[in-house]
Parts: sequence; C-alpha cells; structure tokens
Amino acid sequence: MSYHLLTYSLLFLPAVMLLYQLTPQKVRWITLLAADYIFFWLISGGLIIWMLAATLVTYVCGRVIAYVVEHSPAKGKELVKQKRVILGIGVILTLGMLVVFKYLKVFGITFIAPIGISYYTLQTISYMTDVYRGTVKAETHIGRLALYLSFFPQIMEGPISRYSETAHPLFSGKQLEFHNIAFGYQRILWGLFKKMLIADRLAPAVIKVFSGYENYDGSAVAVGVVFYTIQLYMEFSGCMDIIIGTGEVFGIVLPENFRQPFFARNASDFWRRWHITLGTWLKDYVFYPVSLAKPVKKVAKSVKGKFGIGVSKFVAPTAALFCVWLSNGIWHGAGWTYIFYGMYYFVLIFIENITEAPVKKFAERKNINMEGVACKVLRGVKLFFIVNIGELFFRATSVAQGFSMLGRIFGKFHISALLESNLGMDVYDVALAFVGIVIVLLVDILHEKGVSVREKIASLRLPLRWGVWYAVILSVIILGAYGAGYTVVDMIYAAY
Amino acid sequence: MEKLLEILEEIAQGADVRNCTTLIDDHILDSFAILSLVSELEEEFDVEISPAELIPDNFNSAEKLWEMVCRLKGDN
Repeated sequence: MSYHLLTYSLLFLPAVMLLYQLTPQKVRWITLLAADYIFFWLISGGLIIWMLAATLVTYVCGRVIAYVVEHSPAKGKELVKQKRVILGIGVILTLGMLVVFKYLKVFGITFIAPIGISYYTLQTISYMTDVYRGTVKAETHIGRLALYLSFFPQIMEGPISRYSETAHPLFSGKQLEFHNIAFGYQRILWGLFKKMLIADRLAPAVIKVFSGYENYDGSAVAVGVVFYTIQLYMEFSGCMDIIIGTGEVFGIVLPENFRQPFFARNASDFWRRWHITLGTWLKDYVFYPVSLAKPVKKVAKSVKGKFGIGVSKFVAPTAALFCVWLSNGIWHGAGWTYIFYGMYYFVLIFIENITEAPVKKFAERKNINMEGVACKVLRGVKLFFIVNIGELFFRATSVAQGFSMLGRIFGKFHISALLESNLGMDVYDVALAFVGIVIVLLVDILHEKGVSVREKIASLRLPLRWGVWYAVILSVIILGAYGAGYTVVDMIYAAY
Repeated sequence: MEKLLEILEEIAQGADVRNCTTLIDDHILDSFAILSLVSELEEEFDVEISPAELIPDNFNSAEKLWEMVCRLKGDN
C-alpha cells in the first residue's frame, strides 16, 4: 500500500470514506483510527506495536505533566524542574525507539523500522513539549491522541502537524461533503500527475547517472543531478498533494509542506518553502530552545563584553543554527552524506546571515537595484547551483562520490557529448517530462502570484471545467510512467 | 511601551511597528530578528523569555509584546 498506487485512491480511500460516512458521527473517530491502524498494518505488520507504544508513552507523559502541574506542592523553578524530568523521560523513550530502528545500523545492528517512525516521533515530541510549555492541554482521551499520531495519509511522509492543528478536527467526525470530496480528489489527481508523469519518468535517468557516473560526461552528470532535483520536488510535493487532498476529503486541513521553493530569494528562503513542516518543527523545538538556553546566553554575553553587540548578536543564532542543521541531516538518516548535506546548508545560511547587512549597504551606496531583473536573474542562478549541489550530495552514496561527480561536472563538461549519452529516456520521455514540468511551473507561477488554480478552474463553465480535469485524468492514465520499461518507483521520503 | 517601540523600530527597520499587527504573519520579524528582540527585551525589562513564549500571538504587534513583557514582569 502506498499513496501513489491506484489501490489507494480508488479502493482504500473510497472504502474508508464509505465506512466513515455510514458510522454515527460520535464514533467516526473509531472508524478513522481503525483505518489508520489497518493502513499501518498493511505496510509494517506487527511493527505496529512500536507505534502503539509511542502513543502510550506520549499519552502518559502528557497526563503526568498535567498531574504534577495540578497537584505538586512545588512552585516556580522547582515545578519547572519536575516537569522537565517527566518531559525528558518521555522524549528519551520515544526518541530512543527512533534511534534503535534508524541509527543502530551504524554499529552493524539493523532492524526493519516501522513505517513513518521519523514523522510520528517528531509529533510525539512536539505534543509532549507543548504540554510541558503549557501551550496545549494534556489530552484526556487517548483515542484523540492516537488519531493525531497515526492519521493514515500523514503516516508515511508527513506533513508533520501539530496537535493543536489536527487533533480536534480529526476527532470531530465531520460529515463528508461533496465540495470537500471534489476538491480533495482534484488535489490527489494533481499529485498523481506530478508523481506518475514527471517524477517516475525521470527516475531511470537519475538511477543510471548516480549508479554509473564514471561512464558519463560531465554534461550528462549535470543533467542527471538536475533531473534528480526535479524528481525529488515532483515526487515529494506530489505526494503532499495526495496526502493533503486526502485530508481535504475528510474536511481536515493539513499543513502545507511546499510553497514554490524555486522562487526563493536565497538558501534560507528556500528552506522556508521546502519541507516547511520539518523546518518549523526544528525552529520551534531546536532553534529557539538552543538560542535561549542559559549557557548559550552566557557565552553571547561574554562575547558582547569583548567584541560588542555587532558580533555577539550572531552567537546564539549561529549555535542554534548549527544544531538545527545537524538535526536536519541526522533526521534524514545515518549517513555522512546527510550530515554533509546539513552542514552544507548551515555554512550557506550562516554566510547569508552575516553578509546580508553589508550587501544591502553596498547596494545602497552603489545605487544597485536589488529588485531589478539582473539581480533577480543572478539570485535565481545562484539558487539553482546551491540547490542542485545540495541534492547531489543528498543523493550520492558517499561524500567522496559527491565530490567525484562534482569534479566531473566542472572538469569534464562537453555539451556535445550530451546527445550521445544514454540516459535511459527516449525523445518521447524527454518531451513528456518537459511538457509536464512546464505545466507545473505555470501553476507554481500562478500560486506565487496568489492565484488559486483550483478555484479558477471551478469557476469555469461546466464543459471547460470537466475538460480540464478529464485532461489531467487521461494524462495520468495514458501518459503516466508505467507499463513496459518502467517499474513503480517507491516514494523517496517514505524511506526517511 | 515607548522603550519597547524604540527597540522594535531598530530591529524591524522600515516597518510601521506602532500599528502593524502581523509582524510574524507577514514575516517582518524572522527568527533571527525575534532572537535579537528577545535579548534586548530581557536586558531592558529584566525578564526571562522562555521558548514557550515564542508564539506568533505574543510577537505579532507591539501591543502584544508589551502585554507579554508586563505579564512576565508580574511573574517575577
């Protein structure tokens, strides 16, 4: 079972919708929870026990914190200390499961991980921390918490939602509505278009280049890397469309994970638009706590005394930024390529932060219009290189391979050799992928301008409206990358 | 309140900090600016701002910021 397979959107989801609608509103959450666990079971079987254990730990941790707040004679700092100990135990237990399943392989001990453990673990931590901080009330109904942690569309790839965003809407058992079903399925269709028509079509070329880059000219390696970036975007954002569309069917608003990342101004802005929910999670639960930690503040204060506020203002954010990017890298997996990927963005964003003000002043002094076409083009080219080099290392099997591929791109680049390279795609594939990419790009441009494409289509006259959706349906059925020569490509981010 | 506005004006240069109610929602204050603001507020008003306070509701306007500072001063 996987979101991009037709068994999901044409069998599993309609069956859940039917049962959900037939169930009385008060107990619809049970239908939904049963669907969550069946979905989990279909993928991970008995490993569901770990998911249940994480749910129980999270629930108990929240309840104990609430009990201590209400009944402990301790006040002030002593109370905070007690709450912190309980939170620490909860986090160690849930994070411990993640470490065992995901990172012990560094020492040669491998286990098959329960699906989505990287995602639901972050949700358990955010819930427990929010209860500790007092920003959410500890849940008294374990069913509501279980639903929040295991909602079947989210379990494999996120988005990483907060308890305050989805727990109550999921539990409310809202009636299915035609508008929600129509809009939800439209979004699912759009996701399938991106995944089946573009991402899976580019997959063979990406595999060929990354597994045998020594056989290719630098130009073909560069194309392979750019194809991978496009594949990853189409695939991950396409799966998000399917997931968020499924939520929409049930009237649940899941948080967006992408906001036209390739229109970003710089690396920091790119990460505010790419895998948004991971970024905001790291900001709230790593960046701010580290920045405001007493030892970090102490160091910043001493730096201020010696070097002034101009230098000291960077101490806390830089220490926190380092932790954020190290966590980001490690979260993706136990590999040096991921740590390198994290550190790569740490260095880039650090440079952006310290050069932002001087660059602005320089531009003002030299009368350079930073919003002019030339600057925008330069920014776009810079971002293109930043993102593609980052993805090269992210996909490479080792850091050494990454550098080797980079060396090939910049050292042995002959554009004439590109046409002779066999990337496993014929002219038909390239043309279809190109058309698909142009369509997605146009939609992204409209979204960037604040236009809701689905609302626009909905406002068209009936024949035209259906014409558009039939065109998308037929293109997925007829032009999707399946059949002879293709294999179903697993979702990349489901592996993290 | 005037001192808070001064600090805010220095950090969110060019923004109408007196009337703006969407300092976070409109990305006028990014995470680095929030940290600078926190450090200035802690020093100026002798309060301790914990990560739990770093929510858009507390930082979206000068008024909300002032409410938070007054509340934290009361807690001390």
